[in-house]
Amino acid sequence: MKERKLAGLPVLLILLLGILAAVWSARVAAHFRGLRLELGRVKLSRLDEETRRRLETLKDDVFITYYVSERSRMPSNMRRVERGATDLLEALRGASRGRLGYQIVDPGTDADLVRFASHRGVAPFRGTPTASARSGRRWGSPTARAQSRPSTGSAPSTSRGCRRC
Amino acid sequence: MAQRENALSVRETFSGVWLVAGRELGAYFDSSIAYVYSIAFVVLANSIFMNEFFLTGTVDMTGFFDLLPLLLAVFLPAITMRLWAEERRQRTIELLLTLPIRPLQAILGKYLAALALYGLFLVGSLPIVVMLFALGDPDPGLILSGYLGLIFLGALFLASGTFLSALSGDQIVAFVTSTLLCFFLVLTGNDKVVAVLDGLAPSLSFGTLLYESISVSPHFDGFVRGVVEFHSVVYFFAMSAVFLWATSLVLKLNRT
Repeated sequence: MKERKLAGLPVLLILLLGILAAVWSARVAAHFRGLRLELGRVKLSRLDEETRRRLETLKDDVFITYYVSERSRMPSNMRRVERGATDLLEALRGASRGRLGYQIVDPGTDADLVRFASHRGVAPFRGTPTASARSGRRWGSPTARAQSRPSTGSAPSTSRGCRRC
Repeated sequence: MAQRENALSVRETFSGVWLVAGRELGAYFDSSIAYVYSIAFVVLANSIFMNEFFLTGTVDMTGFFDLLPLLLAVFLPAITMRLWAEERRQRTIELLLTLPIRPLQAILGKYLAALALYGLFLVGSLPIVVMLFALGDPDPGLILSGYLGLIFLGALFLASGTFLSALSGDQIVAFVTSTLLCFFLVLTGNDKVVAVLDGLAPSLSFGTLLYESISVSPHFDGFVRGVVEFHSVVYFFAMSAVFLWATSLVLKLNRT
């Protein structure tokens, strides 16, 4: 009986190695960002010709700060907004030939940022409560702000709440 | 000539797989398992959808796809727990493995049968799609992609359950361990769980590490958003293949 239990141990170790190999292969595959199929009506990573043309002819650098609350604080029907917006920002950055950059900032992490966001008219919105957010109305701040470099009147030290800089 | 022999062996391999799959599927429907599980799953899944549907008031299935992984983490181990544990309990595993079929054929056959039953579960949720199209204009691409994600997710959960059923040899142990593993794979993608795990050891960011490496959630999320990403497909295929391969190792160990 004890021998049978011990016989399972090498299998578990081999399984662990196999899982690591599977995770590694998925991470390698993640480098092929272009290998994706968008089945929805809204193709976030596909830019129209006019947008591409404008991005290619940008004269100044553009930097976009995307303010978004962390997923758990968003209403359940808006929790995928960040990933969708990030896909779009990635597509814009890819088409701009290095002229456009972006950062994702959670304004809720810093009182100064909350004040700044409110001051810029990016007040938190009220979301409809859903099953998973039934305890009350949830606050979230999905909004983006673009500025050309060098920056003038920039946001207060966004590095504190920066999730992707 | 060699190619011809290979082709025959491939045909033989598949005939063995179909044989085992047919036998296993028949066993599901001979007992009340298939009926009870299907009805329970359809009732629960549709209730979840209706709850989300009336609260959000949007003609889409995002909320449904969001919550289904947690439901599958309980239902799919219930399908797989008996696959090998039952054979061992009834002492038919020796008979099965001495038949002129390879362990891999037996594993794939049983796995396909479990997948077919899971497919039946998913077919039970199709009235929701019909209802959405009758009520409005939902995005068919998003729905298709969501179902594709569910198929991949189910395939992974079934593969892990098959492995644990072969390893444990006891149905209850197989069910509990498979459920725990499925919950682990799903919950490591939950923001709150990630935050708690990160908080335990801030320097290691353990939660983020699990989220970015092993969790099913970031991969499944892509499908729910209507995006079929290459790395997600690789993740689901590779993880399922690893669990099935480990199952064949367990059976080989039992055989010797």
